[in-house]
Amino acid sequence: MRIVIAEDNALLREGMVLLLTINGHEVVATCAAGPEVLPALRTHRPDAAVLDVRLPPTFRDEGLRAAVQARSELPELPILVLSQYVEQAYAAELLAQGARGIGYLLKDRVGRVEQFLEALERIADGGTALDPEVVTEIVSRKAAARPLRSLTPREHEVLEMMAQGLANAAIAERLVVTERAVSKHIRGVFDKLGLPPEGGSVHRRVLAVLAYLDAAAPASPAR
Amino acid sequence: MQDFADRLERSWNAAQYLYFGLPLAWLCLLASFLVPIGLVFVLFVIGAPAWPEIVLVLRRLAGYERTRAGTRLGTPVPELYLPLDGAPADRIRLALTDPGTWRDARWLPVLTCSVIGFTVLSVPLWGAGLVVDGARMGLGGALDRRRAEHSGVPAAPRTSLVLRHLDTLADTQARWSARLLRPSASARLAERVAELSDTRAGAVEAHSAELRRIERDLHDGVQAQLVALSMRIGLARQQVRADPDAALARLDEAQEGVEGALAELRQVVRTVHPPVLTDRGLAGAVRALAASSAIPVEMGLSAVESGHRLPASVEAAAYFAVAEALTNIRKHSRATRASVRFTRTNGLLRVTVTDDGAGGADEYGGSGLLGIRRRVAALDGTTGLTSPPGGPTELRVELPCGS
Repeated sequence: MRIVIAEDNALLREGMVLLLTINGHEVVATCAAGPEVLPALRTHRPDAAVLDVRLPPTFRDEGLRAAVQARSELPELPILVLSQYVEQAYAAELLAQGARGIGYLLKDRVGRVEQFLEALERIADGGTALDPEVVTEIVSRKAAARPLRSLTPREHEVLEMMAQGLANAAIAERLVVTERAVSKHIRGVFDKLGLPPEGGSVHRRVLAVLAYLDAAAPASPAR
Repeated sequence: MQDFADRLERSWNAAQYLYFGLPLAWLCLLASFLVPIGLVFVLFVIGAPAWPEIVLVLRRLAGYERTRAGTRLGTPVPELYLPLDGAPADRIRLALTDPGTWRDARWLPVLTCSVIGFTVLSVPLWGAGLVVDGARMGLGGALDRRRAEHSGVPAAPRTSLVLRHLDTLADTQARWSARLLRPSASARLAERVAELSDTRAGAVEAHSAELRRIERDLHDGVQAQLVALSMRIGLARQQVRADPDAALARLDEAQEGVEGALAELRQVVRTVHPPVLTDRGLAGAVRALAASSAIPVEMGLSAVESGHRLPASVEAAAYFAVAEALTNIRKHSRATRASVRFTRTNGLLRVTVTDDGAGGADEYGGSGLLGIRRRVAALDGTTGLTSPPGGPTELRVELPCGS
């Protein structure tokens, strides 16, 4: 894959280039500041972009803003946003224009090289990768709502992994079960939550699950 | 007729104000003698302990008049005394040195004279007023109205000539008392300095407690984890040739350790200054808080949305107050909805967090709210909590924000 990286910390930037190159990807450009990001994306049209949220000059959320702008300007471009901390509100902004080819992960996750590369490839293929911490937060605030309480612990895990954007095969691998077992759990989750049976793609599933979690709040307040 | 009836009622209120002052005037007359007697006591050391008691009597009398005059004038008369605490000798010294004592002493004769004098004056005013204003407003007003009915042109209302001076008497008496009993500018300044020293001491204390907490969190948490990590990597190096599987296991442990340390570091950073506050300002950060709340949170953020950013310390204090309130609501209130409102008036940022929960929250119960109170007080702000059993609970924080 041809990849553009935006990261202001030189050590991390070099590390990331090394990690990606070793694993057979090509880093076509690196940016160290917010204003460089969009021009680099326009020029290189990479297969994926990896953006840090905090970048010079203001060290606020220019990486995130660049990502949101890039999504409306270059809708086909897969973007992975990395950050030292995750905010659910930021995830919502990134997902506002759909869940296709978007990722939002803690920087920590880079350390798990295989999973990180898998997430990057998933995004490049039009999939979604949401950080488990964001998903856990979203799920936990609805955890007391009735339909969620009726899920088995396994189904709960499956729900979180669906929300993270994992495909059935990946879920099966992480839970060390067969794909058929995963499908069964997913059917269970969809039945209990009253969602229409899934037929769409994995990134649509992410949105369906997140929409459900978001909509569950006013109807069944936490007690 | 209506004009005259109103006039009579107002004059009667004013007169009542004067007449109810009469018992106070006699007490003040007595007290005027007590002050020199008390001073003589102080001179002959033996009777000195009576002095603070005399001063307390003065304060009671002055306090009563403050309320009375304040009600009449519609603006409260501020009270400011040194508390008479401590050993008997201290109490005597404080009672002697408090400028409030001499303020009260000076006021005593003025009150006696003004109330009695004005009461005497009010008697002929009543007589003359009833005759003159009665004829002018009562009879004349009735004639005016009859004429108006014929001509169709409404008559101008007739004003009082004499009775209104009863109001003037009462107001003058109240104003004299208010002026004499109001603490001087320098006394108020002294009080403000004392208050600032208090809140500054609180701020310094809160700040150093905060630094100690951060130090502990970093030292015992993150740093210890990094040491353990270095150890595991060292072990992995040792084992890598002889037992690659064991080395791999050490590296796995090391990676888990790094992730734990990072998570903890993130937590510490959040408690120092939440990154989202830096990124998005107060409105954005509060929106993020509301987004992660389990119950719907209604928000009024327009006051902090537009215009320039508030000072960072004010933003942080307001943010932590809202965060703490929402946490308490989630933990204790059994509320189904909450609301967060910001208003800004005259350089004051007011934050109000309410819920429809069970109420009965204890202001001093949790350490969280105490931390907020200190943080707010350090910025010269105030924190108030009302939470009757059965609800609703309301937390109010006011912070000076300089614009």
